[in-house]
Amino acid sequence: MPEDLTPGVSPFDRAAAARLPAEPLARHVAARPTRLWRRPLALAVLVLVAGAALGAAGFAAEQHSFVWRPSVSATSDGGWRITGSAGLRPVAPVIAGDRLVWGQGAYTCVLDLGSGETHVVGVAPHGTSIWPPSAGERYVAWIESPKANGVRATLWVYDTRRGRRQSFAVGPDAATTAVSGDVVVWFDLGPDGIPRVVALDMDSSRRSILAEGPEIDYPVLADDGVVGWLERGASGSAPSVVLKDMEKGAATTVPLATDGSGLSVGDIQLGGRALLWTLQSSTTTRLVAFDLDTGATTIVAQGLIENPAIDGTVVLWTTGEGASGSCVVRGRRLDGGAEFDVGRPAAWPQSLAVGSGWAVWAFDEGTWTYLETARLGQ
Amino acid sequence: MTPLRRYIPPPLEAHGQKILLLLLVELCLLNVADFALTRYAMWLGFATESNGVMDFFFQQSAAAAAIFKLTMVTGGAVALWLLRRHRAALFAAVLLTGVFAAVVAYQVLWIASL
Repeated sequence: MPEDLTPGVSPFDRAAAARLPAEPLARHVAARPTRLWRRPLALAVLVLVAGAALGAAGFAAEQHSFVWRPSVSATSDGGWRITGSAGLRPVAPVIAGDRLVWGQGAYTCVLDLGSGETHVVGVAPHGTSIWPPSAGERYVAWIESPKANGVRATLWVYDTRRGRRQSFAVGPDAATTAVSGDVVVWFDLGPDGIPRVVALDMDSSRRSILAEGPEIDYPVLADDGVVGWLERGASGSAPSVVLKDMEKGAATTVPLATDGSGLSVGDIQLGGRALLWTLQSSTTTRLVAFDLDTGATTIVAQGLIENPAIDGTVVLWTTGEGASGSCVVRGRRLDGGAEFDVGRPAAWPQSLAVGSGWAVWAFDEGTWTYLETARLGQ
Repeated sequence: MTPLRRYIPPPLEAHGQKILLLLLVELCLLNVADFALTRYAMWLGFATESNGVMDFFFQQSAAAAAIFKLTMVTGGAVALWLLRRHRAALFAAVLLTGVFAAVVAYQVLWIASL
């Protein structure tokens, strides 16, 4: 039986059908193609969404089960605490700009001190050892050295502004990095085995050898347009540090102790345009600063001094307090003034860093190791 | 005894062909997104190409890798469209588009997590 031409109207009532108002033709013509594609489109989008959901679920499962993230929590005083277990101790903290950089096992991590946002910027493969990271306002640098002899090491440089990292092949004996502005410097050995200080300009990716000679040793230092390196003289003579102003090209040699004094030199650091080091005798430790601009050498503090740190304006160190020997972090401004208390870590710190109005210390407490930040008073 | 007869599925009707066309368009767009995200992750220095064939082309140049990848997948999509009367073409398109969507979603989330 043929279909009704007009639904609801008897085929025998043609006259009645003719009296019904006709539907506009344009409505049918316009609606039909859209309606024809609606279901296929919905099904195609469904496949897309199902696939994306599968990918997101896989990502979440992988992050949960296999991807390591540092444990960072905010403290009541507006600072940050990073907690690590015995196998993954947070070590070698550095503060540059508004960022805290540290190493934790095979990982190199960056924390934004303002927001608490954390990035794991480096994961060293098995069979490599990592030199502690160094950091400038923009770049973070570290060296991964294969444990096998003669295999070239890798210098990694992470650009905090772009979120990008680049790798550069360096010599097998490359060690310690330092960052100043767009320049990364490190210690290396030349093909003939002679020590050298190498600089890499991140703007141009050009390398240059800043110094070369058998007397050169690490650490290399860099800050505020100044690069420095250690020089060891003949046996028995005290070491010195050469500071080179990268803009002016002028080099200054700073003797760290007088020859034959018997003092032990340690903890050499550069902060801004000031060099800091410790001189240790059998009875006391002196914390000494050299101002590159004035050429003046001053004793910042004396006594039981450990883990000194400098950022160009402030010097911090840890010392004992009272009969119990509990630990206190103390500080002093380089432009003068009295010593002041910065904080009291729960246990004696293994390392200390300062920069941008922040201090950070690492300490062990039983099976856990902590990095704790504190704001410096004005 | 009745001889076994080969089963011939009914051809894909117009509605199924519309779905196939949309899926193939999605597939091509997802392929472009996959290439762009892979290239970006490699530029960021946090990823390496694990597909040996693509890695070979990336070693030559990014343009070579792009031409190879876009040609392969677009060619595959065209081949599936030419086979549009067969239901298997639709199944293949669903599978491929789903997998590419999963890969692209994973990449987007992974890059955002860096």
